[in-house]
Amino acid sequence: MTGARTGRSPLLACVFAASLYCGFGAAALAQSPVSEDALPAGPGSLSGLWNTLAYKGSRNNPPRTRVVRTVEGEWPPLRPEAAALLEERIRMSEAGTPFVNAMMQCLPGGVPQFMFGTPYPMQILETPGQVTILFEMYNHFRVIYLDSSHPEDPDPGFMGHSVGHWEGDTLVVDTIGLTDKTTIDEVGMPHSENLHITERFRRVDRDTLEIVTTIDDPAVFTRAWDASSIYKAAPPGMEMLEFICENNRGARE
Amino acid sequence: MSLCKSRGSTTASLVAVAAALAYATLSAPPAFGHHSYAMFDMDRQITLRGTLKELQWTNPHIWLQVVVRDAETGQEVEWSIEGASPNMLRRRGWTRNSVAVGAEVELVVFPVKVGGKPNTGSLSSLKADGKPIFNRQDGPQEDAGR
Repeated sequence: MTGARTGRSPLLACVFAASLYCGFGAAALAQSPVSEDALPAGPGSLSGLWNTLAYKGSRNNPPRTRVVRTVEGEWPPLRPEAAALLEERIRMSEAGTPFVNAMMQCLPGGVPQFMFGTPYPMQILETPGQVTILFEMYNHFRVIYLDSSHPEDPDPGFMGHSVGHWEGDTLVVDTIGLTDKTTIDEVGMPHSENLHITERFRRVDRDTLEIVTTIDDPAVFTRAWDASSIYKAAPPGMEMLEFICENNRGARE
Repeated sequence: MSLCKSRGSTTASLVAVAAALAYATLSAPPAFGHHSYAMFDMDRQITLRGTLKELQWTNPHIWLQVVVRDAETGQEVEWSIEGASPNMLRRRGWTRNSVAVGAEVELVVFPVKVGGKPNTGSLSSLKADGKPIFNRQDGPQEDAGR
């Protein structure tokens, strides 16, 4: 999905693309001359349209291969009860009666599932005081409040409550208040409402955004563990399309 | 900078997970369960020829209603064929105006499994008035939530 570049300068094309998508980030880029070798980094470097390459749909990928792994490629450290539940859901999927995840009901996969990728782009907007992520998938969004704090006992939601701050070139995002109506992945890895997500967003090169996600939920996992997602800059000119989940006919019939 | 809410009772959460496990194990497959490629026999493809009666160009999936003539009996049967999302298809060059209602269409579909809703399938490829419109082999076609 990264597409062929048409211009002679990939960086200029990238800056041009960024200027299409974000006023704030583009303004920051426009004010400082950028050499061919300079990498976008830090505030302003996340804005733009991104596609994941990692999304695995169910058509060609058996359920066990779609379970989110640790950054080391290992099976997540599930407690026995949660491991048994996930195994049951894998078995159900293999038997042709998959676990009914949120998205099959036209509901958002939420955090962190959406961040592990969907078949559609996401757009990051950096504006003063907040970072906003627009998901084409079902037209959802999440807001990350910068240099802020969580409210006391937020109501559980699909995206939760997120606060973030910059540590050098990395945006560190802390999220709580997540409903257990979602699962960690589409296969059905469970979590509780005490799920605590820490994400580290970093533009690792001109075309690549890396998100390392720490998943901490002591009722479900024996320890906190990291997963990673890689996104690629969308080709210049790619736009977000409306996606309202209005005709979930396959679920009704 | 980031304040974490205090942890709830681990014991209570374990009970909830155990309850969910019991639910998953004991309950029958839910009504939504067949909204999945699992409802289709992905090992079998059949070719249908007929007339496009209706195109529902809607997310999360398009649906084509096709009147198919049975070559042997001469009877007409209406098929419901599910495709990918308009967003995905548009990016692959198939727009809502690519195929008009009334067009003569040839489809290759994955039919529902034995015992499923009859005359229903998932689209593999489509030609309209002899012109290739879509072939799932030609690019990404995965849909989330499936």
